[in-house]
Amino acid sequence: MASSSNPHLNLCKKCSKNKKKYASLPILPDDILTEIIARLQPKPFCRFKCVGKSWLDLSSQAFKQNRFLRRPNLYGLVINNLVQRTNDDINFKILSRNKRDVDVKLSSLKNIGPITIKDCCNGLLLIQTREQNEPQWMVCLVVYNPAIRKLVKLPALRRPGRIIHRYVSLSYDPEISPEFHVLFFRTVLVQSHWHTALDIFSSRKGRWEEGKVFTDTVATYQWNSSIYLGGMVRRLVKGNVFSVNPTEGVHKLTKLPPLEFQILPLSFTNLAKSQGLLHYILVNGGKLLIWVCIDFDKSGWILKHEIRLQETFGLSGKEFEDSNRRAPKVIALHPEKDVLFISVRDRKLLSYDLRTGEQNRACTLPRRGNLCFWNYVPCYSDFVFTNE
Amino acid sequence: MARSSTENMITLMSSDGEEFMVTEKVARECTTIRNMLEDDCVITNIPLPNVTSDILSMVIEYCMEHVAAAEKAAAETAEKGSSSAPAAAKANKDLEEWDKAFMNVDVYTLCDLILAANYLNVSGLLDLTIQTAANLIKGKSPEQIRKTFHIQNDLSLEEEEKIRSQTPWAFEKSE
Repeated sequence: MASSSNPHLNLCKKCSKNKKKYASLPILPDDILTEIIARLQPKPFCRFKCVGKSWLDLSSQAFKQNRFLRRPNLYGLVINNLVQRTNDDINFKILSRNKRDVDVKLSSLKNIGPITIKDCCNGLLLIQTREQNEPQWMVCLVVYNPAIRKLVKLPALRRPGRIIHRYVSLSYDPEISPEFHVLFFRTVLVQSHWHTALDIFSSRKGRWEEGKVFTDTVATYQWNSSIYLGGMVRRLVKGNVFSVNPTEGVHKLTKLPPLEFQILPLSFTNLAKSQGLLHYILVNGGKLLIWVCIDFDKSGWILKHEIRLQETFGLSGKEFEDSNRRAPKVIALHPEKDVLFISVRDRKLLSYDLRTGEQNRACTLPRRGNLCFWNYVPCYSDFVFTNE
Repeated sequence: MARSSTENMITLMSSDGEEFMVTEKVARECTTIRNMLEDDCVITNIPLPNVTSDILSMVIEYCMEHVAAAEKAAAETAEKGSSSAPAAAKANKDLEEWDKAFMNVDVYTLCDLILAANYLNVSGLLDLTIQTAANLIKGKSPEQIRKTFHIQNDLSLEEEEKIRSQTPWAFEKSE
């Protein structure tokens, strides 16, 4: 120890380490004990609960203070390959340096046949499965939390009809409610016009509420992410952002930012959530454009970033504009920071700091295919689920 | 070292009557004492009825080390006009090493130190001791935690089973 050079040391008697015998351990006040528990990683945190009653009583307060449980960081991307449908195509790409105890291999789903990840929202995955002997049209959905390894099977949707297009979204925010909703959009023919119909599953009620038809919208793009933000599920539709409240089924449209050019039909467009705001991403004319929505009612957008793909990443821009599906295409925003993830040559995924321009290799993407991807942030809260 | 002789000296008295003379600067590391000094600037003798001499000597040791480290860093900055980043990083690392060695104590002493750091409001020491306690718990089973902290298991078998079944993954033996 460097104490010999310490000028204050000669003023105090040489400190001796404690040698006194104790009859019992000193009792720590609750707030201190809570603080200790609040610094535990998820696994030891759950283990400590069955140490004794006094510790168990502190767990709900400690949960609120625990930064690993309450405000976890981006752990990685969930990537689903839409071309092939076997278990191998489900990929977690871990971006965080700190290994966490998350079931990234989806081992709890091993026994349920081929699966396709359909959505990911605040740590929950919505997965479509098909069991043997079940008819083709039957939609089987499960919801899985790979952090707490909880898997539930949703009741089958009874009235499939003739479904032309369908896509499902998941909405869940443990900060607001332990209940999740699954939204099933389908295109229906009403009086010789195509409309979007919506069925909503509530995990609290444990059943589907069927049949709301929106007469003012057309089919949304199937491969885009849906974003759950401000209590509404947001999806891209033609020229608009379509927002719907999963508890009440109320919806509205927000016009996309006006453009001076024509968007190519296969251009990359997507919605993303970052720093609590909705972002609209578009690749056009060799440029990557990112807007942020500041007002849903008045369709207020601000162009936040304009990046030349050739100069910044050595990409011609064609990668995201043509129908070439051989190269994986990913453009995602970090949920908390001004950081962009973008796929470049050789299946490399780069992280790009939008403020400093710093680039880093994040991971290598799956070999090929048309990818769906979502930010994955582990969630250690339990969700409610009623099994009717 | 001439500087230290001109500094105000404060006497801290432990619960078992032992007296410790420290510089005001060291004493001010304890927010509780700093507040007392600011309320009443002529005070020179402070009784601390909640802290034993063993523990108080350790708290003072911690404060002295951290004051000395801060002084050294300030002196280097003054000398060179600006602090060099690698030197500052090394000093930080040395202090961290010192903290780590300082925390090599039994669980009784650790709990006493937590209580003293809390009472005297030494934020750095409180943070260090709480983190050390959390590290003690980290890799342990509930049974081992009970043993370490001498806690009686007052949960019924059913209650314990219920908690375990809520998060079975936390009790799996992996890694």
